[in-house]
Amino acid sequence: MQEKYLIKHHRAKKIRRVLIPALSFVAILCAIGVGTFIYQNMQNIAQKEENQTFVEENAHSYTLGETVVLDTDEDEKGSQYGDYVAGFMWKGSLEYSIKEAKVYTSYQESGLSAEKQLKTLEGDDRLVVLTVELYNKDAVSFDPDNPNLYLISLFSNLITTDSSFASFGQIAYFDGTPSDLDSKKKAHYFRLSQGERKTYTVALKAPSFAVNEKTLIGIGVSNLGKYTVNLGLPKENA
Amino acid sequence: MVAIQRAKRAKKLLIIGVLTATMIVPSGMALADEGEIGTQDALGLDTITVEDQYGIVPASVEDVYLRLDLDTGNTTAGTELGSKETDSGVYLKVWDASLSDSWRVNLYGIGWRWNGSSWINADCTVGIPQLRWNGKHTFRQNIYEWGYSHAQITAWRNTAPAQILYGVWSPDYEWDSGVTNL
Repeated sequence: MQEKYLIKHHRAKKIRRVLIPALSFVAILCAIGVGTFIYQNMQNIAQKEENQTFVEENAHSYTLGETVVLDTDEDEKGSQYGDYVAGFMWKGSLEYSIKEAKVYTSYQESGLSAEKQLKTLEGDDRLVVLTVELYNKDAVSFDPDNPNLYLISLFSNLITTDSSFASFGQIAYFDGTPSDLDSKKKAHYFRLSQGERKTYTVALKAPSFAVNEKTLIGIGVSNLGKYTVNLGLPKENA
Repeated sequence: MVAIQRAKRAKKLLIIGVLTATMIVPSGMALADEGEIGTQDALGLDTITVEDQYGIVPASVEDVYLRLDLDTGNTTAGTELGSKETDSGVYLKVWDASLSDSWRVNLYGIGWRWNGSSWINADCTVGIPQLRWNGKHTFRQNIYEWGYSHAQITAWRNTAPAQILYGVWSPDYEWDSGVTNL
């Protein structure tokens, strides 16, 4: 009996010798895991708050007639804050302003040339006709083969304040296509050299519910609403 | 006897400890990672969900700008959605970028369609298209054939320096000279 007890006692001692370091190791692992978890979450929260502050301070809203400076270096600063980048496709700076915005229910009503019509209006579609001015301060397109060639679609995302920047418009007319380019396939392209200032007419086809006092034009490749121009349209267009 | 009981208790504790450690540590890591995963932008908005609200997305069969932000390492980037109107290839023209065999970029043609209540998507890529140099490319996918209305290009590579691919892309493609079939 005594011998049996001694063997058990010895075994228990042995287990204890292994167990205490093992438990300590597990406890340390747990502590590291929980610590990492808390630290990473705190970092995530801090980063999110920082991103949100950056977004609030760098969301640029303009009205009709105001000049929007589209500078790539300035825009790219947002890449450190949750990739809050509108996305321009040039090095340097372009200036953009929407001089006039009008809404029509048909091409005929708008008086735009039928030859340049790129989309057909259907149902309750509206035609939002914009007169825009672009000034190339010192920009060079990222396109190495065409440093003066740009796409008007970057300047004409039709969005509404309650659509969270989803784009509703399609380019239906544009009068800036260079004559040496395919008028259908390359209809959205325009040329603008450094120091040049041009005025264009661009029309967007959009469903009537997206055309109201909340209609904005978003600028950039991404639909983040970082640079927007309120068109100042009347409340009712339906 | 006491020692045996202690040892038993310690054994139990050890098992609980190990189980807890195996559960807590990985789940903690996973949760900590959650902030980095996901498709929300800086505003915390998911543009696809927002578009769902109206069942409308930007439609274009003409060139639109391409900007694929490939971060360091194992990253995926994607374009906005574009209306897919034919069974043609997806087209993209990449401008100046450091692409090579070792820094190749895998491309995917993702199909999207609205099923009445939500957007569903599928990888419709045919083969393994890979970008290895700049210029004009097209690649096959079954987006239109499988009944998806919208196309998106996504790009992935497992190792390379951070880089943004610039260019233009179009959901549909018409024959053009100098275009490589990937």
